[in-house]
Amino acid sequence: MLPRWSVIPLALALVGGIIGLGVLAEPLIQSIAAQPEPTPTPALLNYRAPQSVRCIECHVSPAALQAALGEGADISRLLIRGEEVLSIHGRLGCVTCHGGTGDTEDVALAHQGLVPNPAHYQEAAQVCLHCHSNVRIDIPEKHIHTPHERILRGMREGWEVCACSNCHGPVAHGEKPIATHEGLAAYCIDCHQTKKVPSERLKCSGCHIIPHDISLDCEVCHRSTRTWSNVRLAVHPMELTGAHAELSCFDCHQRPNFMGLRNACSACHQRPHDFGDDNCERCHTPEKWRR
Amino acid sequence: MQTAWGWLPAIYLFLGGLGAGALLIATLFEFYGDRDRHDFFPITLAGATVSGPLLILGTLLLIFDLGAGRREPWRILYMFTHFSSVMTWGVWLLTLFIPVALTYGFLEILDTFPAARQWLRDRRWLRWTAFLWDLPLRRTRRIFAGVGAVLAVGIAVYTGVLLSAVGPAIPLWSTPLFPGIYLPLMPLLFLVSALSTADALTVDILATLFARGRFPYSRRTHLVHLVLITVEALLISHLLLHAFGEGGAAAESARQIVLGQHAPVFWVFIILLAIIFPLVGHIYAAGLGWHMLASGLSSGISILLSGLFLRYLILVSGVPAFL
Repeated sequence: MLPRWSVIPLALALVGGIIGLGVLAEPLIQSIAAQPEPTPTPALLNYRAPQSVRCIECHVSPAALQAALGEGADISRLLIRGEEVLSIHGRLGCVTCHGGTGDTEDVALAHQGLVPNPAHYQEAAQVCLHCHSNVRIDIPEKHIHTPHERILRGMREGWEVCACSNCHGPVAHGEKPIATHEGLAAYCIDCHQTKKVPSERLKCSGCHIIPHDISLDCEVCHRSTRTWSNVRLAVHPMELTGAHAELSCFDCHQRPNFMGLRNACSACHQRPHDFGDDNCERCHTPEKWRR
Repeated sequence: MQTAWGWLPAIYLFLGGLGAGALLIATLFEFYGDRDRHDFFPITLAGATVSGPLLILGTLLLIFDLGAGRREPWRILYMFTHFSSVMTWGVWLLTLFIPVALTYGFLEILDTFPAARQWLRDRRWLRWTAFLWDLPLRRTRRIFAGVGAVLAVGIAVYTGVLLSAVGPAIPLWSTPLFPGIYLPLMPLLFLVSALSTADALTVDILATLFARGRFPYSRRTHLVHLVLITVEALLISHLLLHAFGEGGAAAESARQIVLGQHAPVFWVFIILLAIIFPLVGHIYAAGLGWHMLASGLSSGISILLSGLFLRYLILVSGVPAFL
């Protein structure tokens, strides 16, 4: 017969034993089940910001660059501004994208294996696409479509023109060419013209998804990218004169569409008197309603 | 799929439920089981004395599992005053329950072992506690048992509330008990499981070992345990059927449990060990009026194991709603 006092330690030992047995038995039992294939983890970006301090120390200093390259050497291409380092991509560190050897004062060693343009089609897969693997083809909320699919295909097939930086510029060095139309003109359109890309790619619809229900080129009505809403009514079915000339498009049309509005006064105006019919122009003119 | 939940939370949820359930079982026998007619009553002795230590161990594991609890344990103090948080309810329940359970266990030891009482009385350095010996021991013990039982229900339910509070993020854990009413199933399932595992430890194993299964109301106790096992089976069925019907992440959780990578644990440790095997053992025990040694030990151990695995299975199969 077990002594009475042994109830307490035996109870606690039982609980401990059950937990131990459970933890040990679970992998054995689980091993007979078909386990799902682990989701492959993408290779990580070779993050080297902490090792990039020496690079920055030298490349922000004209004196240090001049000393390294010798008197009279052109250092403007190699000089970086302090604020570039603080940009989103700049904070990744030089070595992360450009490779080389961090944490050394030996100039030759520091530049061993350097990648001058990490956005080049042969390098981008190892640098840009780590983070930007899910690039979008359309950005409908901004009415933009992009040629990313073609660019990615081009990178796979080795088209030299397909470098991320061709459109996006040197992202860690303060330039954002696609942020402005002027930038686009300088980076994209000039290049497209040089490479003789079909002309429709150079129009607004090359990038913009037209939000209206008419298939006209944007520049038919829109006169400037700066003042987009300042339009000229090039193809309006009725002449807009008098009071009509002062209206904006969507005073009459339902944004963003233009079709579906009848070409008749009664489509917009309500007849305020019983006499006559819906053809207001029999008595009224757009210049002076009370005529 | 990787999950943030694994063995550690399963163990402390199990310890919390078992500790609370043990005190509840002891309290039931304290009030209805003719405890006072026996010098030695293994069910109340085990239930009352292990409850506090199990909760202390579970709480320590919980603090260890909280990153902040390990590095800056004083930050746990902040959790006492955030009353809209489920965590704060749990912190208060544990803070109140542990001393009550320890006192109840201490009084049970004093009542069962007069020698221990005498040893304490003889200590000079404990003279200042002399007034305690004049207290009516059994009445005082019953007061602690009653207060402890209320808190124990809170603790057992809380282990389920903790999971269901995660809300829509993990749909399996927030399965409602009734359609259309937001009354989560988990707290009830964990309460039933807590009572069942505590009954397995104190009645099926210890009462069989120390009293050869003969104790007051033993047949009724086994019948009640049969009901608990049946209710647990029904709740698990409801949980899985509702999850399959709901689709999405809930259905994926249920699929992992019944057919997927957790299926062996489910069929072996839940269906076989928690339901079929104990049902047979308890039908036998209820018919006979007591457990035979083999049926008591095997039923008890299988129910304890299944209680641990029930919590583990629910934790590891919690698929987040965004999947």
